[in-house]
Amino acid sequence: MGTTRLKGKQEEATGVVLGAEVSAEELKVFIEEADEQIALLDRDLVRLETESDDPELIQEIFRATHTMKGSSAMLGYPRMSELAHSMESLLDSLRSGKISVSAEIVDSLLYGLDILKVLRDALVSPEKGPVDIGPAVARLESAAEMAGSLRVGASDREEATPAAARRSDGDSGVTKAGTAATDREPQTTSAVPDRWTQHVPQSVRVDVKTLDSLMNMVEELVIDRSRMSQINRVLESKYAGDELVRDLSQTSGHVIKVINELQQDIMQVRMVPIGTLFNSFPRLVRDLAQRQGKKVEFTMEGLETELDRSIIEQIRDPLIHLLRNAVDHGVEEPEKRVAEGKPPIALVRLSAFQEGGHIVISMEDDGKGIDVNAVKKKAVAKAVISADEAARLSMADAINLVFMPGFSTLEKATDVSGRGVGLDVVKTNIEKLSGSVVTESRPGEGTKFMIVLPLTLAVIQGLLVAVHGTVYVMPLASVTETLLIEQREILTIRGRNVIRLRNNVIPLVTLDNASGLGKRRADHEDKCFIVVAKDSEKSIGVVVDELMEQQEFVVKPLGKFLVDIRGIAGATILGDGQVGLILDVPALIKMATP
Amino acid sequence: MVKETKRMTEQQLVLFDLALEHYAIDSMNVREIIRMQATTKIPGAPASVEGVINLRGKVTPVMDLRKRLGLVVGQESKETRIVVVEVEGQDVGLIVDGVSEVLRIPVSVIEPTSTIVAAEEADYILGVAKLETKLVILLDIGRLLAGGEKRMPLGVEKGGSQAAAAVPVS
Repeated sequence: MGTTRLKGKQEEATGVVLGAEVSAEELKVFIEEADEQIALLDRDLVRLETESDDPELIQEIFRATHTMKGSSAMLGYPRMSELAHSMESLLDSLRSGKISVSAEIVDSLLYGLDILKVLRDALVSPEKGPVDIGPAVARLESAAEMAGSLRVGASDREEATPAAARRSDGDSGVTKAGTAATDREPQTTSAVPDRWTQHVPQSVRVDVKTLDSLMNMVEELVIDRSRMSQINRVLESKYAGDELVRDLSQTSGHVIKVINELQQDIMQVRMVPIGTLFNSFPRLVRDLAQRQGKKVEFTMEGLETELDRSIIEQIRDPLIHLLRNAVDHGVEEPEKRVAEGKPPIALVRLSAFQEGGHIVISMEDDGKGIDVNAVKKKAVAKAVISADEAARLSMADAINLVFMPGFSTLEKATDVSGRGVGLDVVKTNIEKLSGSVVTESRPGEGTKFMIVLPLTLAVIQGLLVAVHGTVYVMPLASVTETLLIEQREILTIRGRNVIRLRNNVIPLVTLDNASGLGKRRADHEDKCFIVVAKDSEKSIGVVVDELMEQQEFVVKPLGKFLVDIRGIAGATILGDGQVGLILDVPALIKMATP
Repeated sequence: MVKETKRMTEQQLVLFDLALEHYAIDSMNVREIIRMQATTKIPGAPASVEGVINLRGKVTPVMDLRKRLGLVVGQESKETRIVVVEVEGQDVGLIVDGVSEVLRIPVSVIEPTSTIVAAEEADYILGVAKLETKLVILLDIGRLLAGGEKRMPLGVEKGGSQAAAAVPVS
């Protein structure tokens, strides 16, 4: 096994005890665990400010720091364990009721957590240089002292000093640090191995790469599954009554069933609760609000909602952007809120829930809302639209202007939300995930962003359509209805073909191969199908010759030699083994509407 | 020792025909050679891209090498093949008029291009191999495919890719 021994630079940076050799694998597991604890602390410490009387919360925070202390000591990272120990001591006093939660205590704990993060980063990239835990430890101690318990502060220092001494003599510091922990909290230390023995047999850490490769294999099986059912149907009709064929179709029926189950399980394994992403947000909002002198109560709901790993990764930046936007532009200063008759503390609510095959993430604030007129004015000034267009825009369309490229309502970009990227990036990123954003806003009452995302990107529900003998897949998520219309129902507005659908005029789009793009459909065909598809705002009608079945498709990329093919989101393998193209509805809409 | 020198001085090539001319690529790039098959056309793709095929579950683009090189595109025949090459970790199929042979040739029979071809072609033509019965143009397939974005005829079509997948019916 090619394990890397970490020596040299890393020791300087993190104060690793000499002789304590940590394999790369051990380090990886440790980092993963540390990240979990850090994420938990990030969330819970902020909660501590408002829910200071919740003993379970304090207990949970205590446990997390304790775990950090224990595992870092075990691997020989005395600074980390010393810092965690200081935090733990403070929490212990909180837990036993010797002192009570104050702003300074939370701040000092958050500060300690920040340094823990720096220490954690230094483990990954030792070149960053040594990290000084002195100020953090001192601050934690003084916070404890200030809270009126000199005794705790003193005992803290007593314990901290031997830890420092251990670092300098450096031989068996690991075991000593471990023993120190056992001496202090016999009851909780014994709880740690308990938790381990309980959990180890039931869950296994799996490398994401392994998961992805499993997913790929299952995808191939899913493709074969469709092919297999098709062959079965042909065989059965051709050799009806043949025993061998019947056996074969029974066996393949079973294989198909197992593939279905396998697919579902693998998809399930890839699902991650959205809480893993949300947990870092309370801290973010808190810091943002503090920096701007605003008061924000941030609540989160639906943390257990599960979403595909790859989507979670890609939704992070857009969400952070919207949150920053809410605190920066949405929420007013406390005085201003009071002047307007609102409570001084603003509400920002982030919630996630599942709705059918979708996940909806909604973010609401009760701030000043979007000033439609200011938005219009700005859009005209920035030449995003003309004054004429602005006057004709509906309320909803005007709000959507904030998502246009090159638009930002603030004159000067602040360091908070204006970093040269506008909300258009948020929208583009979400649409890349086959999602959509809907915005509602009332002046003076607040703004609400609703992000609708698919549960997974690997497999989509699609409608097969045929155009001139070529088969395409329309993602079902964006299909609203299908129509059979007569040629004379197609009207023209300034050279563009449209249809009237109830009260709306919908532009038509035709799909065609490179040879005859935009070619008029043969006139003798007096009936055609229209698939009405929409993104968050606009609808288009896609003209097709034939509507075929509706099924699940595995999405495959077109590969790097076919980038920027407008209107095509990807490809899939159809039941007959041919490649079908998956249509990119947002791109089609952009092409069809001016 | 002898073997070692041999490898240095010899190159294994896959020879194929394009519009009556003889071409070759290094066999190291070639993954497999398959019969011509129906492709799924991609609206809005450059004209030299014939479409995509399903190669054992992988969506693989197929390019018409004749169009790519600006040669006359003849009728599809029994001899037409798709040479699947791997470039930058991605498989790409190349349509050729027929694969003639796989051949090991001494490097010494390869003439550098400078004297024969125009400068803009020079970067994807490695040289011309003088065989007993024919002259074979040696292609640098990596460069040919990578450079496709910038150069004729692919580049021009690409720039003009208003030839998009969809346009309003008019």
